Amino acid sequence: MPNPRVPRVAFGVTILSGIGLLVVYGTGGQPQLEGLLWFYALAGLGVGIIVGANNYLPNEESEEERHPLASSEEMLAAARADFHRADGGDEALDAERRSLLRLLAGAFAAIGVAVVFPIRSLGPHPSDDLRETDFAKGVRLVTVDGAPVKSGQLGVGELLTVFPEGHTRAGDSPTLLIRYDEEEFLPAGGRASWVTDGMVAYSKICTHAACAVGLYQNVTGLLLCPCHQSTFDVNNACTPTFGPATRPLPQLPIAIDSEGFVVAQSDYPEPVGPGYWDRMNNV
Amino acid sequence: MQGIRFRRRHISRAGVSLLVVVLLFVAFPSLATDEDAPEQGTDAEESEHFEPIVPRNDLSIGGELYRSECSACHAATGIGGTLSFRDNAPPLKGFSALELAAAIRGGPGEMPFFGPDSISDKELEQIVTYSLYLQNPEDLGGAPIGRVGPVMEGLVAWAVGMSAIVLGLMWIGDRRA
Amino acid sequence: MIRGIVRAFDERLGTARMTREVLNKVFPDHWSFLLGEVILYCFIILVATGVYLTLFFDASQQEVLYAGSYVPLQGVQMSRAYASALDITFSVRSGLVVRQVHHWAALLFAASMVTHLLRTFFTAAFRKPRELNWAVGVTLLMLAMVNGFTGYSLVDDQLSGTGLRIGYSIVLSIPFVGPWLSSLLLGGEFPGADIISRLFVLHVMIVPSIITLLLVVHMVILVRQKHTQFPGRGRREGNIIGLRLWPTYAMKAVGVFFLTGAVLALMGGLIQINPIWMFGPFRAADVSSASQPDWYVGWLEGALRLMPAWELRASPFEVPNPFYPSLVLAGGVFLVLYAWPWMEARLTRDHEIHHLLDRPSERPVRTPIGLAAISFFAVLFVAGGDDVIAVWLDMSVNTMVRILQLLAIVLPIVVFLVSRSAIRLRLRKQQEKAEPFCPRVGHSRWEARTLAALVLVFVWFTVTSLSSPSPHVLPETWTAKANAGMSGAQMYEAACAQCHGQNLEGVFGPAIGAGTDSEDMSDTLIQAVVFAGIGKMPPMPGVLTEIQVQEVIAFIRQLQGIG
Repeated sequence: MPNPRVPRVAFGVTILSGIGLLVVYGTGGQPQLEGLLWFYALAGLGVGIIVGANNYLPNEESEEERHPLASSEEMLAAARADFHRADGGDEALDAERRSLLRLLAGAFAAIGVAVVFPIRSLGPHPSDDLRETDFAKGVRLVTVDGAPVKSGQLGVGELLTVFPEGHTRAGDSPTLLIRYDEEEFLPAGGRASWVTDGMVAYSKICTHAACAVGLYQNVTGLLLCPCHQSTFDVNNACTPTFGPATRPLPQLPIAIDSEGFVVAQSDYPEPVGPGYWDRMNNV
Repeated sequence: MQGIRFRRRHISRAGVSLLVVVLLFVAFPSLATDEDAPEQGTDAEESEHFEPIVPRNDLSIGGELYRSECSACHAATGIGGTLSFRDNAPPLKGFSALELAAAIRGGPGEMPFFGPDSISDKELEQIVTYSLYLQNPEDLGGAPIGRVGPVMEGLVAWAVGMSAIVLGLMWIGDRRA
Repeated sequence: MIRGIVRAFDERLGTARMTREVLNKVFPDHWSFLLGEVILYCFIILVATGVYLTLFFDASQQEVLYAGSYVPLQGVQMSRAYASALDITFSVRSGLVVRQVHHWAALLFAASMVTHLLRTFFTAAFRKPRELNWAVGVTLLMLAMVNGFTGYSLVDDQLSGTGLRIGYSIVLSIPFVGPWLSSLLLGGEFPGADIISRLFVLHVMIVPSIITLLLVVHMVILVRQKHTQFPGRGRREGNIIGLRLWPTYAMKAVGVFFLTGAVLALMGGLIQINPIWMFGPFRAADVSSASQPDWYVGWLEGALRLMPAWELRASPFEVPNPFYPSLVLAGGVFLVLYAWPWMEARLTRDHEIHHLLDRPSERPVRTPIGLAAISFFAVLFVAGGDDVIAVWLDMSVNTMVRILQLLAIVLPIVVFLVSRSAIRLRLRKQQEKAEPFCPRVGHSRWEARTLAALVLVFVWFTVTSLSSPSPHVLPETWTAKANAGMSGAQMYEAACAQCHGQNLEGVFGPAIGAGTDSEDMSDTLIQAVVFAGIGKMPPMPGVLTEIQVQEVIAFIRQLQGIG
């Protein structure tokens, strides 16, 4: 009755595929062929073994009794008694033991605390880092190649990703320098002096989850974060108009220095990037 | 006597095949890396003193510019993406070099433009070259499944992988409940 | 000789009795009981491929200039981690296929876990005495997610950096300890100097060790408690009917291992996963649209997207927005999962021991709850890819978010109500008819056909996906000169029509046809405008050469003449 053809063919396929893999590897490798040959090799084994087992091995059902997992009451009582072997009888001794145990617990607690200390070495105190970027008064805004940005370099609707000079790889410093449309732009209250030459600078780090807000829509003046679709209105202080972000992108006050390059007036007046517990302490 | 001879024959057969395997293994050019593949790279810090072994080429410069200026909308793989309010950044596929160059300089629709002060003519050429490469990039790993990324990979993992496995299990195991 | 070894062991350890017990163990035969095995086999394959990758991967954030064979990244500054991942892809023979099998195995590891969990849930295999093992399984699912995320982040390309950055924001959002915790995890502010090496230790040592340990615990408990079985002829609470482990069941289990491996090998070889060379090295200032996590984290990504712009603030403290859809949601989900067996026992007042399984189609409460949960996670997963799907459906992503926000609440309720009434209806009919015993369905040929269809699909994949071992040649750089040979009309079409329209009628830019100012402008002036810009028209040097611009102007004049 058992038909030996299937497992035989299957194992044969495996042997051939193994040899094939050897050849493919020896001749420089090819990912698709390797994957395919591995598939044939493994599938041959699998099919061969299963069909073989179905055909040649006993397949009748067996029955096994289940035995209750729970122990009898006597067993539980005996175990309890074993555990409390040291108890009972001498009350003075018991009291002594109890106080000793308390001390032991204290000793363990002390070690436990001591064990935690070295974790502190893993990282510095966070708050200063979160508050500050590398921008400061007079620091030039440079492109990713380190080239400083000149006044009048950008046309209306053009934008550049800029960094504080010398820190083009810092995680919190990417900034968007946008030449806005004078007719559309509404400078936020008290920030009229933060823009210069028709240019405005906002942090590129999303206030929601710190993705780079890289998607600028020129006509609508919207900045869209491709990660979670938070949308910011460039012409209106970058207030969020859609998506999960709750705060506008922080604005960097900029000016033109004596040589005609764009510089920061100061660091960002508030922490850039996503919120955290005591962020408002740092504003 | 017979048993001993039998065993000896077995041992010699095993020995020969082992030898063949070892020879084959040694005969390969190298186990791990191809000969022409250089060791890692050069230290970035050292590179101030030494020239890198392989300098940047037009494609790799264009790639860096593409990823910093274009990928936010058109995706790193060039498949395009969504904008707010039913606008799309189109996929690069199908655009000619001239169309790409004109779009970068001109900024049609919602697309911002990049003037000669932000992106030089040379850089424009490099970005266009990389964009052309993205229209037909290296697909060493097999079917690119749209180059969409993990969303598509997840769908394929379920629709192809998990389905194949479940079918296999149904073939192996009992299907009566 | 073997007999001698067996005897030697038995004399020292008394192994014969244990062996007999193991060999005679009875396992009920049902395909869905094999899902758990698939998890184990995925893990074995993950460890095997992972060890191989570890031998070549360099978990260092030291910056190098890439000098490998992939031309489009040559000379680019990147971390050693990313450079070595590229070397695994391009230089290590078999490296790419092993990496892809590893990644697909990770996706299927989580997928088989979820499927196994659903099987356990819907058949109520979690009931007393198996609550503990359910809890172990839930922990394993959580660890699989954690290890998947750490692995995704190790490559240090743009995609993993973006994921890591979102993860960082989530840790940062934890009330009170967030800033400290994130600083300790990363060794400072993002991106941190040590993050890759720390993730590496987590990914290759700590989490896999815990997973191994828990897998062993899971199986020891399984053996101790024996498997559940479906009700049926001769099957009681007090017995277990099935195949003895040796030899048939063991052989089938080995077969399942090889078939799992076969599926993974096929996917790893033919279907490209995570083409890291296209994403480039991580740069904090860059981002790519369609940045998503692997599917098992996708539901959290979706929740982050659907969360309304809302957060708790009590000056000077705040609990930021990302905290709720990530940690609160995940915490809630896992809490419910952990507590489910005990919760259900309490609510149904069923504290009995159960070895016979429920049929999902006969449970009018539990099954609808499970289906509702599935629909909820499906909505979140779709939301995690809403930008991609919006493009596919040609739909506004904003509308899509609003619809999905609604669906996340409404769909589970609808699914619950509909499936509950469907099951109730079925039960009532069953009672009325007192359905005769369901006839046994023999093994049919349908699966052979399905498998054949799958093979065809794979063959198609192969044909379309065979990549030539590319010589990585640098293509010629495009320059404006390359437009040579195009007519003025073609060049106008490609370079100008985007803004000025096919027939000079104007789209984003002004109309320039007959009767407009442009008609009166001299050719020299138009040429100057093209190179220097005017008003809102940006300067466009480098796109066309001077001669080409003149050809385009001639074409425009021609059109103006017609108009």
